[in-house]
Amino acid sequence: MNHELISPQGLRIDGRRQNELRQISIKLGVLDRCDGSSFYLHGNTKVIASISGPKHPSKASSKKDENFYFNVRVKFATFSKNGERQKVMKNSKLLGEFELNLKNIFKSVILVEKYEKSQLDLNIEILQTDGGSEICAAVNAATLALIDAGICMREYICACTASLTSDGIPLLDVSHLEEISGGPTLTIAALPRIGDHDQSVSFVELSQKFYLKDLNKIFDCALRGCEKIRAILDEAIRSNANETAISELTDN
Amino acid sequence: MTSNIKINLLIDKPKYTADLGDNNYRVFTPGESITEQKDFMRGHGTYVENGEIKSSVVGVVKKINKLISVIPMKSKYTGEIGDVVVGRVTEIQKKRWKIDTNSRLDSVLLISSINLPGGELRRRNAEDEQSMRKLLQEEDLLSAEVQNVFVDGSLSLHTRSLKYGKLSQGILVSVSPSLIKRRKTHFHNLPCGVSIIIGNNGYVWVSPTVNVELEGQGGFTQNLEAVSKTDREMIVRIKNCILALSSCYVMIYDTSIMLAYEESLKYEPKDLLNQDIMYEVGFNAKQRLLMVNQ
Amino acid sequence: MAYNPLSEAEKTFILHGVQDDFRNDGRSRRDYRPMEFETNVITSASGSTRFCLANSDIIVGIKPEIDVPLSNRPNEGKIDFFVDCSANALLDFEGRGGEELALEISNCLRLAYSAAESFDLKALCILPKHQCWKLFVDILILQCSGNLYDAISFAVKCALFNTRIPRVSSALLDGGNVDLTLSDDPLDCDRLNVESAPLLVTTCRIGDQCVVDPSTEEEICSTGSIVIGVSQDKVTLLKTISGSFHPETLENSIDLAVNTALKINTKLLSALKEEEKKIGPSIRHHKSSFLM
Repeated sequence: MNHELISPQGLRIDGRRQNELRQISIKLGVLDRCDGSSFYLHGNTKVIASISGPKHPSKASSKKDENFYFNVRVKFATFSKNGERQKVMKNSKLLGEFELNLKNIFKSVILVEKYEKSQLDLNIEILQTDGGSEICAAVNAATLALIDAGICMREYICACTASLTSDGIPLLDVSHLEEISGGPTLTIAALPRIGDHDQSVSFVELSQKFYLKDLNKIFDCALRGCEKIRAILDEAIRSNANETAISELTDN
Repeated sequence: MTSNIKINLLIDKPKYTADLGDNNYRVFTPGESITEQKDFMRGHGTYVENGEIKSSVVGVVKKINKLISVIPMKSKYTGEIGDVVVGRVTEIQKKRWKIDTNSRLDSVLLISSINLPGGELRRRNAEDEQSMRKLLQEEDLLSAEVQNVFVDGSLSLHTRSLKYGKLSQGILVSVSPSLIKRRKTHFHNLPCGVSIIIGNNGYVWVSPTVNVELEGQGGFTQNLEAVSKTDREMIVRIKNCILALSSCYVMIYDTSIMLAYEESLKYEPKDLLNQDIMYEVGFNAKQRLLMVNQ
Repeated sequence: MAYNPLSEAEKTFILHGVQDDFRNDGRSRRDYRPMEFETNVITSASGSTRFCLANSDIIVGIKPEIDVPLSNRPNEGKIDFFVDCSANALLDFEGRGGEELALEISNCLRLAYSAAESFDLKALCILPKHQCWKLFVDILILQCSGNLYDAISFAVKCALFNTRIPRVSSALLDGGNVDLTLSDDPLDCDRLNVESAPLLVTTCRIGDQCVVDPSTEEEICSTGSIVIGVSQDKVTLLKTISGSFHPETLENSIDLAVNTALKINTKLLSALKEEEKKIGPSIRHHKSSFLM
């Protein structure tokens, strides 16, 4: 089945090339009642991320034995998937793991020492998804929302998936259709400083088996994807910064 | 008897874009290196890695002598000593009030940092919660000055001047702290009969101008008499003008507010709720401001 | 009601403003804040809309599923409502009853839509006694700046207008089993008539006066509020949310609500038709409003 993932002409099921991302569109500051927010559209996946804080910790969160109260909540809209309506997921293990992963990913990049004793809430609404790799969209959307909120971060964090055809051709940014067609999937979240030597990866998840000899190839493919996404995010952020330019910011 | 109802299509939503001509400053993004020189000190919005000072937010670089900071486009308020702030009481504790000042931690107002009404001397036994509540209770608004910044970044405030104290009737407008221009004075009596306190923390207080001679008590009293309709109209207009400026990312200070006010006069105050008019007023004010500043 | 602290003096200022018929944003007691919407924002739903009333931001997605009619209403389909607060909107409430409010709103919608005058459930019947459509109307509150009841009911109406239900080309009773054939063409769909789909109008008593479309701040100052469901010119729901009303005030409130709802209904329907004319009725590809 794997061999159908890419045609002899080198095109994938949805017409993309092997190392091509799906369409990504971005908007910052979509919700104005919170401190930072973003809308992230990746293929058919639509995600809204919002940030509240940093603020004085609420009573409930200050009981926790931590120095930085970082809460992550993820919600799937009941209408987010094609076909049957989704049941409202509450406190499910799957969602819990999703949230924990996000929390760990971002704790590695936020300059936590600047937010001692404060509370920061990251909320992810998954409005629509075609099935796979919601975590990638969530990570990228959250990076944008954190930046919009002016939270101090070491680097952008970008997430991307990659797969492999049976002929050993790596595929970037796996769509749902490709995922269910049986290809193995690697998901990574990385700090992809372009051209730098100190790129680091803060999250890796592998589904199905790979031959160890292929791992490097597929890993590299996913990392290049993160770099590409970083460039897209960076461009969107810069153009947003120019659009929302405060005329006299510098002579303040 | 007519009611005003407007339903627009989001696909026709007016879009505000800044005039790209007037901002040619360089934007830094997280992880971007600002300088490799060792003799600089890192300020807000930066961090050091491998001897380089790097940006940790999206914003513009500000250099003061050897201190490099990056000012983000949008963020919580980080106070400086001497700043004027508007805040809201969140909690009363022993000998101090906790105040929300749009910062990442609540600020503190010690009972020893206020002038008691009528210059009364502070008595030990008067420090119980009840008498504190008489001066300022939860959810009350006040204006104050930043006295000190604690190690953890939280602020301590004082109201030891007649201009600071409890706020009475009016409207609070909240904007991004980066939109507030640092000025000699943040208290203004506008010619249209409206007083404003532009807190450095992004909280702007709009109220009727009060006669200082009658009520200059060091401000822990409130006047709950009805405000005249003409005053009220002006207050609402100024409030909507501040929101218009904020939606167009124009710095908020007395001059810009007055320009927006003048631009708004051809409309009713409620018309400014419509996005297209809001943008028009904000944009025109911005253009005029650029001419004034040249 | 979303939480937003106000000092006594601020409340007094709002109260006098309502008395003077000049509210804190310049509106009169009968004015609504500007509203905006876009339909078909979620392609995984059969009908959807994003609706904004000032800063209240709501997404509605509708999915039809096949179900069995109720035995006492064999000729009717079903419709049900679920209101969900996003984690971000819950912060607007700071844990003060956001979820209870969501439950209350879905109950109000259920009641308002159960009236025969408001929505034709017969249109959702496929095969009497055996099969019908059940519409799941899911409402997601992204953020809240007051007057959720009204905004949500307007949003639901827009989403129902946008809903496309697969056309059943044949439905046969084969023994005890129902044999359904749905049309192969995804564009061959049934639409719903939403002309009289109910609108909820909240009137809020502040001091001695009633206002429509209260802001978050006004909701805090309110001493009583009542939700009135209006289908064209008929009242289909009356429910007090808080406080108590003098019969005379109640009557005035209903008058105010019916008049306002009539106007909103006309404007909403013409805006929906305008949007459809601009974009065309087919499944379309255009820039989502979130990106604008």
